[in-house]
Amino acid sequence: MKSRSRNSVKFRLWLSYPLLLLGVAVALLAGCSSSKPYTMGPVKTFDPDNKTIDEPTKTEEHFSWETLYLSTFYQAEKPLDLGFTFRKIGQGLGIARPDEADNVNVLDEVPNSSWYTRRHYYKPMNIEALKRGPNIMGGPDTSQPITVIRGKSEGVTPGFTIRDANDNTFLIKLDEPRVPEAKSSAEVIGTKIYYAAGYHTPQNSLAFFDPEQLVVGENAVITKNGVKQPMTQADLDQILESSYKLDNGNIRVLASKYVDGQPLGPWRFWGTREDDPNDRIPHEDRRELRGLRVLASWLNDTDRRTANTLASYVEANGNKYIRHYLLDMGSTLGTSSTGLRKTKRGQEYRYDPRYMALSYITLGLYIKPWAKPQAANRPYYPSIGYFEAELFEPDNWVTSYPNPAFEKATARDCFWGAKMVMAFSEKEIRAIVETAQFSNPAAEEYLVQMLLKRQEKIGRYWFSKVNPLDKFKTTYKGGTLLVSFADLAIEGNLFDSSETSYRYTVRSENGGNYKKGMMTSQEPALTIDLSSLEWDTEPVILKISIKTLRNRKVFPDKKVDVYITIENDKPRVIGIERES
Amino acid sequence: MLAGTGGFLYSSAIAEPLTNCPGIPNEIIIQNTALGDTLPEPVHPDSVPYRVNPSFGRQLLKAPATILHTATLPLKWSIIWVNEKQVLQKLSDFFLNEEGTAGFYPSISVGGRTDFAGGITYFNRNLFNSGHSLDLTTFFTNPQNYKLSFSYKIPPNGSRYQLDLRGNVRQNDDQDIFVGGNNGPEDLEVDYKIEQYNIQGDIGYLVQGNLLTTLTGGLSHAVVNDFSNFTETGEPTEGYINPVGFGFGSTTLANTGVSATLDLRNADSKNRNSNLVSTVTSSYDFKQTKIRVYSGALLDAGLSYYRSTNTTDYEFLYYFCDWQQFVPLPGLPNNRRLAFRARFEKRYPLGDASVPFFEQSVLGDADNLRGYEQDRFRSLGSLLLTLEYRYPIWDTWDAVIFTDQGQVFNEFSQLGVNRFHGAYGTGLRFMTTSDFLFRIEVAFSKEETQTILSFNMNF
Repeated sequence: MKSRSRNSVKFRLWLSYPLLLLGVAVALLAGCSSSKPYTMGPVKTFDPDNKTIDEPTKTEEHFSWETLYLSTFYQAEKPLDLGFTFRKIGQGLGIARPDEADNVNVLDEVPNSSWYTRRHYYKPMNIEALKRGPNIMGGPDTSQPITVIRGKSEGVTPGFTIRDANDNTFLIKLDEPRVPEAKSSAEVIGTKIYYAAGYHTPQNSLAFFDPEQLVVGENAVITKNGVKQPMTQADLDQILESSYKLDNGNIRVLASKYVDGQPLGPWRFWGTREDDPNDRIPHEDRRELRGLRVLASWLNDTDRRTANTLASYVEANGNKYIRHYLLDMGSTLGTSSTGLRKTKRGQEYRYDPRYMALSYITLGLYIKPWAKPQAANRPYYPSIGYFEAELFEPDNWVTSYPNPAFEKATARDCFWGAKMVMAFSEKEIRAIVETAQFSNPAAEEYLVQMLLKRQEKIGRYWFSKVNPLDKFKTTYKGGTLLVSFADLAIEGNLFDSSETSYRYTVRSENGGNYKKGMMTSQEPALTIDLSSLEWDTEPVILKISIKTLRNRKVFPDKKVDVYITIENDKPRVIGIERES
Repeated sequence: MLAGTGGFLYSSAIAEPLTNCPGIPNEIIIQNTALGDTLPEPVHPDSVPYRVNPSFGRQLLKAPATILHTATLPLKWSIIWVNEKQVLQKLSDFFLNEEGTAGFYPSISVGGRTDFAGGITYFNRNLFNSGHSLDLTTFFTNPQNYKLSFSYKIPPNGSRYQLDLRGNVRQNDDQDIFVGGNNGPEDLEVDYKIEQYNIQGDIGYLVQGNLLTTLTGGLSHAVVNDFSNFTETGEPTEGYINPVGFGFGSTTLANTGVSATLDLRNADSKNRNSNLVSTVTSSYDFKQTKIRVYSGALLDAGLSYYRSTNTTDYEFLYYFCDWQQFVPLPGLPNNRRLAFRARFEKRYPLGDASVPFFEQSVLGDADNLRGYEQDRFRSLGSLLLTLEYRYPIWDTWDAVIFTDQGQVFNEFSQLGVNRFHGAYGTGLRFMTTSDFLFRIEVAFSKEETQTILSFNMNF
């Protein structure tokens, strides 16, 4: 009996070690987080990552390595990072929170930076501004001869670089005859949506001109078999030969204006840049890059990887720093760089061990929905390609290769991304799509419908993971606090206001012993009587916890805590904490 | 700054960026509305950049991942170096001609008669600019174990005839004969050394699109020596082997025969031989020309006559038939399919002559009774039944679950249901859309577990 008892004690001790370790690890992680979800000071709205730095070195994308690394070693590194593993276990046990982004303020928002600028969601752009997008100018001057200064005959997207009569330089991308208009349209639409959402993009526009206007410049070069050599008219003719031409012989192209500053090559979706002191937050922990996943899923931008980004060393306001651009939206919507998109794009990684294992274990009896013959059974428009909304699942959408920032996106990150997506009304989407100048109205309408359906799916999914209340405003008069807000699910026409109500509680956070039990409002506006509040401390801080009811049931079962301070009769929202 | 509006005090929870914060570039500022929720502070947070400083504890927890990351750096540098220096392109330029129709590539063999063999293959798919095909292959383990082979094919080039010449020279100094036929125990084996020279010629005639007949003829010479007088268990071999007519010493055999192959298979794609490791040419070679066969059948049968040219000990007939049947699983896409194969072989000694052991039927190989040692069962005849379930796990990767059942026999009367030796296993087959690349399999039997890497399909 003694022996058994001793063994039992030993077993319990043995069992306690991992639990102890887990506890220590979770405590270590918890120690990293801020204790107060609000600020009594100003709210941070800008991250000053625009300090002057020395010109960094140029970088290149190493596609082979990055594909291998992100698909294999990076995936193995994640569980070996015990902080990551313990946090996952802790999340499963309900004792740890997700690893949230590092650059969000107390209002759960992204401050402006060299990566991101608040635009359409925060201050709605009008239709003209949305249609204009990043374009300060209207594309190359096609009224005069156009000089070709560089050619690209190899690779999946042949094209060339031109300089117009106004000395502006553009990269020209050509449409393929078998998918006319598709790539240029995708690029135009994707650019305008990303820009409106707040990202830096090049000025991409459609251009139409007669190929006879093109003149090969004296110093024009072309790279063949990795060797630069002088470019000839024959080289240009060869490139043009494979492009789509209009009935009148003109060509329709995508003209991408060179961005301002000194191009430094791509930036990555993980880590930081050693030679940029402004780059202090690991890219995979930036909210705007994590939330980009949702925007990318809307556009089916499966090629959102290192190669399609650009760091540019710019000079602005007397400072020299790196500005971060998204490039190359030609692989969005129904196209890919190699032509038509396959049904699997967006559904699984190019090499996806998850589905390989699933197929193997289930003896092939599990058939991926997008691998079924009927998956390709969609209306087909050559100018659109394969772009659908039926199989699209916002939570399962993936890029062609693992993207570390997208992989780390939490529900709150995706909620942020979803509200960027939901900010576009049908009228605005139609206006943006119109700028692609589809020759087939049916194709244009199909694309609009698919964008709307995918947008609705995104809203329905991510607004079910986080209570979609935002844009809080406060007023205070005569002892009554009015808190109004936007219910993004109603604004997005996902639910009707008549079937929605809000249940909330109020309590003071810093003394005063003020507490109001469960109250309900039928409107997205809460009226709070503070006459009973013992106003003996200044300033007062109130915490309002709100849950949303749809058809009298709490949905989603997540609360939003709003922190409000009232100082000298002036109310102010000082913190928002979203349960996820 | 907070502002009053008509007696009400109002603030928005979407904080507006400051317009007058030094160092903020104009283009990333949204013009402030009348309302803002920021407050004046001696050190405004907009002037303080975000910082991420992981604690020591956090970095400690990350140490295993950091170690792995560091360990991958040499690979990273290598891959980047290879890409930057265009090493693969340069190798391709070095080893292949400009058209990619001729050149060299490495050849390796894992398992089989030696654990590992490596060498180089020269190929030319357009010899003399005539479309003729030549392969010269070397496999080398050590000076006592090697194989040199050649294959020369004159493809039909639009006609119905084709010619295939092939030959090899091999030497192996440590091969096993498992004695005792179908019931021989695993440890009842003896060692031998062999030198063998073969040359074989086939003339093919395409009777119709899917029916090929072949006239074959060839010569082989084998020298078997260093034969042990005792088995590995120490028993004298006399009780199991009659040295007369068994194949010891020097033997030269001539053979001639006919065969026919009828291909009724349907497949996802054709093996177009656009990669180097494939050995298929534009010749009519039905057995390796289709990828992901999902239905139909392939029937193959042949008869050959063998006679020794230097002794009267060996003279025999050899005949075989091979039936392959493919059936897609009902209710599923046709790339989930069953593949069945039955292969029957028999040597029939003529008169008082016999069949040398190295020409007898063997089971135990990467292509037949997987899961057993090489040449595990040997006799005058063999029957092999294979059933495979093949299914895709990725665009061009298949998984397979298989079972092999086989037996060897001297006389038909020995065939019996309870004499089958069974093996089972699983594996992966790697293809491109136009080529079969290789397969990796693990096979289990009651005697062994075998791992197989092969650059050819078993069927």
